[in-house]
Amino acid sequence: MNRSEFMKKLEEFLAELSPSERQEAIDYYNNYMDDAGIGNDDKVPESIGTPEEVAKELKRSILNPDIDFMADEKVNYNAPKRHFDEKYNNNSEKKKRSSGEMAVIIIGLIITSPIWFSLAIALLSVLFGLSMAVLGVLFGFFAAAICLVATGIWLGAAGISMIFTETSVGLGMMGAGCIVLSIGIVAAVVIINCIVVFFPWLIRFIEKMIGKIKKSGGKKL
Amino acid sequence: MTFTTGAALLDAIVLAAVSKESDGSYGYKITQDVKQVIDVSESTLYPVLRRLQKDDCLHTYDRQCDGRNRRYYKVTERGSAQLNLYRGEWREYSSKISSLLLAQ
Repeated sequence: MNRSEFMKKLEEFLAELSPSERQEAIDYYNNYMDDAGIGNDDKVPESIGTPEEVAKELKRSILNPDIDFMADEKVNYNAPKRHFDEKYNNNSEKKKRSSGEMAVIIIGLIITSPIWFSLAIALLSVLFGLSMAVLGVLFGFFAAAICLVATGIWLGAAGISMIFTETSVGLGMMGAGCIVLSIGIVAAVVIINCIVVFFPWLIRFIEKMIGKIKKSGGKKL
Repeated sequence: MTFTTGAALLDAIVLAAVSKESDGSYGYKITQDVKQVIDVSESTLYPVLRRLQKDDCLHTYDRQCDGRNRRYYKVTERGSAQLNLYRGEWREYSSKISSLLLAQ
């Protein structure tokens, strides 16, 4: 088949395409054959194929573009940049939101202040009462321990005074006095330790609560 | 021709052939350059050139030559970036295969 026949057949087989697509293809192959030195009457080399094959390949590429897209790189060409933009935008959006909403939050706080203020006072009072109760109990036990110590000493003293008159009773009382005294001392020491532990814990607990309130307020903002 | 050339590799080869000249190249010359490397038909190459042009990897311009219009293809910035991507991919791909296939 010579060039003229080839090009005529090719144009027929490309009839389904739009005029612009068809014309571009025809121009391309005319150009190609000019550069290849193939004249109108010259035989078209077999390597080009038949007009039918040429048309088929071109139509397949135009009508099924996805099939040619085997490389993922093409689809993801902009992807890294897009991901970076997304991360960056999220952060700035967060900041923007807080500065815009701060005014609203402050006004909200003021309006609802009777509620949260009295609630806070109530809560603090309860905390205060509870800790005082605990301290009271501890002091009570301490006082009892002191009494025990005192009793022990008194028993011991009484025992000593009787040692010459009623020896066995006196010794018994001294013994009892020692026991009571030791119980009292141990109790007193334990209670002192409790107080020493309790107070700092109480203070730290209060500090933690204050910290939590500050943090949760900050988070909201 | 034992190994078939996939669409991506074909794109890479065509982009490389076009970018060889700073002023770009034209259909016949591109085809000859590519044929030096892989055995393809002209009917395969035109759809590739067309698609690369539609994807903004190549742009065309006409030049008067012997009293007729010759259409030139030139690599765009995007095409250049894509070619670089392909170069990196090819280096990795071919070296991995070589290390296994060519290992004694």
